[in-house]
Amino acid sequence: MRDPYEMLGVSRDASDEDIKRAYRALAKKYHPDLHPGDKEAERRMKEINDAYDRIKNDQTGDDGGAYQQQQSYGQQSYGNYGPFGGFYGNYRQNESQEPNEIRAARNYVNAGHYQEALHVLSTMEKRDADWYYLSALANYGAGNRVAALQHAQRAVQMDPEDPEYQQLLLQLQNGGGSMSKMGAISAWV
Amino acid sequence: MFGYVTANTALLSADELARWKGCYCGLCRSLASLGGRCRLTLTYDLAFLTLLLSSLYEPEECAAFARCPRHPFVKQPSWCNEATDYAAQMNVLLTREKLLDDWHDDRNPFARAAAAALRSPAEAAAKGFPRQAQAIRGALDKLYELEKSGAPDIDAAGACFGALLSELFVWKQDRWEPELRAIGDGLGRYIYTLDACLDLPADRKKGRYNPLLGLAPENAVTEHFRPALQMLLGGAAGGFERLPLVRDTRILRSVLYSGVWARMPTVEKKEAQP
Repeated sequence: MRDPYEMLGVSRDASDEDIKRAYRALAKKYHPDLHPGDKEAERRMKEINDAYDRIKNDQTGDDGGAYQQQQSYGQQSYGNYGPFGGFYGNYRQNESQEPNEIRAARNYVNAGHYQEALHVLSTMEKRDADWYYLSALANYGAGNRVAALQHAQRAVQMDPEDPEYQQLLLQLQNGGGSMSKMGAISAWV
Repeated sequence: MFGYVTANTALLSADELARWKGCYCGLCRSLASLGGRCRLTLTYDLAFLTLLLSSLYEPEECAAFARCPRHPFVKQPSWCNEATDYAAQMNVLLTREKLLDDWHDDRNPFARAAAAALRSPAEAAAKGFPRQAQAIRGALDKLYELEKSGAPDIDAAGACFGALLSELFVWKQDRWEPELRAIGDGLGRYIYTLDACLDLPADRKKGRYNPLLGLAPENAVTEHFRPALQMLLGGAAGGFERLPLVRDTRILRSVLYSGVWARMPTVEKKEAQP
């Protein structure tokens, strides 16, 4: 089976948006409405669709056809979609009092939209340990390794008892190495 | 509907904000073209559907710059396409069925009059989209049955509303149907559950049916349900991220990841009061 990235004409480290753009361009080119009765165009279209599905299934850790079934039972949880997977977890004890911005930032991080997460965080004046923790995750995802490390350190300083902060700091200090072992690694590393 | 599905405009650039407002104004104009009263049914929920389907199918758009009854002095930019017209018809269908329910449940004469005013455009929409019309009626009937049985079952009730919205999100039955269904289902369940959360204190006081009764301890607040709400939205986000969308994605994400939570602070404020 050919490499799905190659079939869409993008590199393996292409961004999510580039993959979607490439898929759209090819789908427009080979759309059956433009080539009525053309078997070759039909075959190409099917190939492109399969390639896109395979990339998406890899990203979300689904194995092909399981997608529909999982959705219909509503068993998917938020954290499953981002590269941090169950890493951040879906729920924290102290979440109930958190401001809307923190919640939005977590949602963005879990979904892998780090720039948006950073933007939301930048609008906040109150910066507590959780703010620094989320900022560390968002920065790491956005490729800002040094800022990520600094913010993780700050989170641990502010709340030395929190095991999640410690774990993140440890992983960052190890160059993110153990992150991959936890299944948290993804296309962006 | 409920108006929960809206953008967090604080996260949008000036261009994105204009695009989002233009979508909403376009939906309003499309509603007006269905008949005078339809305009009054406008909700943000269907503006989100318009933007989502526009991003997925990229239909040809037509822009306008004009005054309207809502903005009688300053001309407003707006844009419309086939997806806008589809969402407008769904809006009318949904609103009329809800109004009929209100009339049957509460004998509210205003609901009856409003439903009567929407009769002709709603019937036209039902004729054009029988699958969606049946799904709406079916889901609302099932919700009514659940309510009458008095058994609080949030999953069953949420699933009804999820089924309703997923049918609406599937505009064209093509290869994106599973993803669109996942978004509709997740949002529908989320909206229904959040609405039940908001009603819970009043329903409890007055001894009314609420699907969350029995699930939460007597003095539980909305926060008790946050993990569940987060999980339900996760289903919608999963479907969304699989769609090959490139246009207006920042606006759409500001709805799904932030705007939909906007009602929570109101709740917290209400809860803080004795």
